[in-house]
Amino acid sequence: MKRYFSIYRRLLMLNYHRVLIHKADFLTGLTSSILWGIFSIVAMYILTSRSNSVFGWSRTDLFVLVGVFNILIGGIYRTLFSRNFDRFTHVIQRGELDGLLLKPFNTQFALSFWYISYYGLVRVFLAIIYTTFVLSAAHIAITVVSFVSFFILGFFGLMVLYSFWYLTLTCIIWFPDLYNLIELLYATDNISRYPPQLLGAMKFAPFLVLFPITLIVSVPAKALLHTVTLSDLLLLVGIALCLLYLSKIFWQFALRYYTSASG
Amino acid sequence: MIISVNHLTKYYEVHQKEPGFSGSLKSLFHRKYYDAKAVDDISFEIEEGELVGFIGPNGAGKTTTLKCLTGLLFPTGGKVSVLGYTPFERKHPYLKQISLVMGQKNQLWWDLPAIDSFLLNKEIYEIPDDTYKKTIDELSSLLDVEDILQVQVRKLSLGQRMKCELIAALIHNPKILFLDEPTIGLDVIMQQKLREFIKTYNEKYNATIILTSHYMKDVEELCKRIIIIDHGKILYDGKLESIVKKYAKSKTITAVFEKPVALEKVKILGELVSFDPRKAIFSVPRNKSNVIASKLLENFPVEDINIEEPNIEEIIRDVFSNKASSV
Amino acid sequence: MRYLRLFSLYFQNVFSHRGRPLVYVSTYVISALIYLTFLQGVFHQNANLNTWTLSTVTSYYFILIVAAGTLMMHPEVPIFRDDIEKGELAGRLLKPFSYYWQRFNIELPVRIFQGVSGAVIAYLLTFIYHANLQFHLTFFTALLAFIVILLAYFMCFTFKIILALTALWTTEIRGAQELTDILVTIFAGYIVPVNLLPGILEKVAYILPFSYIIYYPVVAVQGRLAIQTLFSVIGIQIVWLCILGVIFHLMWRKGLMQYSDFGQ
Repeated sequence: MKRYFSIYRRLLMLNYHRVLIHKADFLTGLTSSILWGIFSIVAMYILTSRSNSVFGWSRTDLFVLVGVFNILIGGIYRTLFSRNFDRFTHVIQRGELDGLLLKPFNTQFALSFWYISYYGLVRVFLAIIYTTFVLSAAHIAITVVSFVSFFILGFFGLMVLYSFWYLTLTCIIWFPDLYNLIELLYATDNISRYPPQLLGAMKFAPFLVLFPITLIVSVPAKALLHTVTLSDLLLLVGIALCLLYLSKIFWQFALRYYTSASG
Repeated sequence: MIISVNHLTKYYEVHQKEPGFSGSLKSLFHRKYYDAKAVDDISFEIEEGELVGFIGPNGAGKTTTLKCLTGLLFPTGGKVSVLGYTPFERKHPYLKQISLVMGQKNQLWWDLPAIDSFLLNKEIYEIPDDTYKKTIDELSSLLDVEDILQVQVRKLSLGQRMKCELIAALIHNPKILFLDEPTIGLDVIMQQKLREFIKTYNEKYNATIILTSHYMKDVEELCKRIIIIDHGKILYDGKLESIVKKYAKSKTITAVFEKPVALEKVKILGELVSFDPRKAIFSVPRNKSNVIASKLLENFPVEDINIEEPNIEEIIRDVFSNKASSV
Repeated sequence: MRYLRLFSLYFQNVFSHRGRPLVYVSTYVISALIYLTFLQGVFHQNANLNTWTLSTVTSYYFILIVAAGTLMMHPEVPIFRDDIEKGELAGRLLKPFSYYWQRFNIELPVRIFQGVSGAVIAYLLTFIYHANLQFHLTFFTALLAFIVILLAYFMCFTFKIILALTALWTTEIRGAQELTDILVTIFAGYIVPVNLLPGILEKVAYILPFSYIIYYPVVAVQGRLAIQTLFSVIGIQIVWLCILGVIFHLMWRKGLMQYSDFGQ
């Protein structure tokens, strides 16, 4: 474990050095990250412009949901994982996975944590301010309990998202052509911005496989709104741990079918 | 035996499409696949410290074999043992003792100086500080790259980048080094420097080195033993000098004369490849080369005489095209 | 004849990479169903929104799936990555085809494949949602709707190629591309039909070209536009196409002078 911390520390430093070299890239990423954050708020504003509540969630609840989405997914997840998953296909298709497989450390760790997009931290910061503002405007207090629960549930929510993405992208080993699978994942992420009841209302049974996605943002948001229940918590934690384990097993299985790129 | 390969087989599933628009439409709903035999039942063993050359045409199975030995690919059949480990299990103690360098791939961070990538590898391979410093100093001195370690990798020339890639690959002092076309794309001087380095590294550290290359110079200068592979099968496994003796049926004698000589008198000695009154080139059977050379010296005013083995490349080409007798 | 041959080859290419277009269509399906389902939740409280009913809005999103697959293309991605960044533009310039039509021929088969796949999926969804796709079209309005679709296609393609060409100056298009994606999502009618956008956003949507690429073709196919409106839409599309055409020609000429090929 200590070894992985020192490897990660080194990776943090290398990524920081890259930011110093590519300042323009950092600014472009920062701008687009903030624009997408604004977009998520505008989209919710558009969707709720004709109604004060949808699926039992009030307008305030929905704006808090958007805020939590921006903290967890738009901010933290995009900072830590997006860049790595964006290049997942590239790594497998072009045989760059070879270099990682030959190193004496966990490949899943290497693929997941190699790059860090520091500009995402700005979005996290702005999203925290936005969410705090929405909560205080609705006179909903942020207590120690709600903050700590949000933090813990947010961690498990991210675990669900990470595992879901990893499980899906592992399929690229069999279908290296599908470099746009990542676009599908970005589209499915959007489900988490809306109340979980939305998935049930979609009337399409295969979509139930997306059920874990609906918990990622809604359960931590409920913690802030003081409406989270024990069953929400157990469901989220249980699914997170199962999916993480599955992602590990499936990846090990998939590597047997990795054909590398031709020499 | 440090490396032991028994009946190794690796097949790939390849989609076969019929030509034309109708073929494309058919393939939309139903695809035909066939098994491409990249490696087909090969066996060999390698001792510690050997420097072995793997040669073969494109698509022969060289890189696939290397990847099976390093654990990148899961074999379809057969058994592979390297340092007592099963490569595909990719156990960490095994990975700490091997290294694979591929000529056209890089592991260094493109935007950062090479030294940053070395530091990352240091953490990954858990190399103590003093060992790391000593290794970097030695390798960078051997490869003459001390001045460029702090320069961004993307600003280095191909040769410099290759040297830094080698350092990154050797930072943990691997016992076995797999080199997949390491000199590809380099200029002749850089190729020579790299060969010298590989030779020195092999001698100094007794590292086992398996090398694949299309350049015969790499093989001739570095490898005492070669394995020739084609269509996934081993055609020859043995000493380089033996392949010359085994497959080279003739030698070339070049004679330069002090005075012009007549064609009629010269051509009776052997098969003439080329002739002008002051110079003749013969292709003669190996076992008669000395006799013919003596006759030339006795009967003609020879100024200079040269007896040469055939070009290794030609011999290998003959082996590939099955003109030589099989192994 | 040679364009037909090219088109045939590119179509064959689409068939061999059939998974990719299907993944793109799936993203349109998911996005459309998310917004549709959310709006259905809104409709439970308000049965009629600005002439839209639950039935017509459901049919809007299903047709949107086909429209997104057919009309919303991304040629700027391979143009930037392959032609400009990797330097393959040099090879394309040496071919006896206009660059615009080369790229057009590459894109068209993908659009057709995605459009047909989207239509099949949308048709299947009508059973799941018990929806009744209604097209209130006469022969003449159908013809005008087809013209709207054709012009929308050319508008989108020209706009996107202009976006890609900005890389000849900036060397990076990600920022511009993402901004465009956001503007398109809001103003092209992806989230809600344009006439359901709140206040100022609706006005901006009518000024920008994006609603003429997606929203108007969809409502034209639904038969929600009167003949005069159809003619106005076509007129505005032609104006936009002329503007985009001029911009393309200027950028192409000046851009080529800027262009420097990358060595190996």
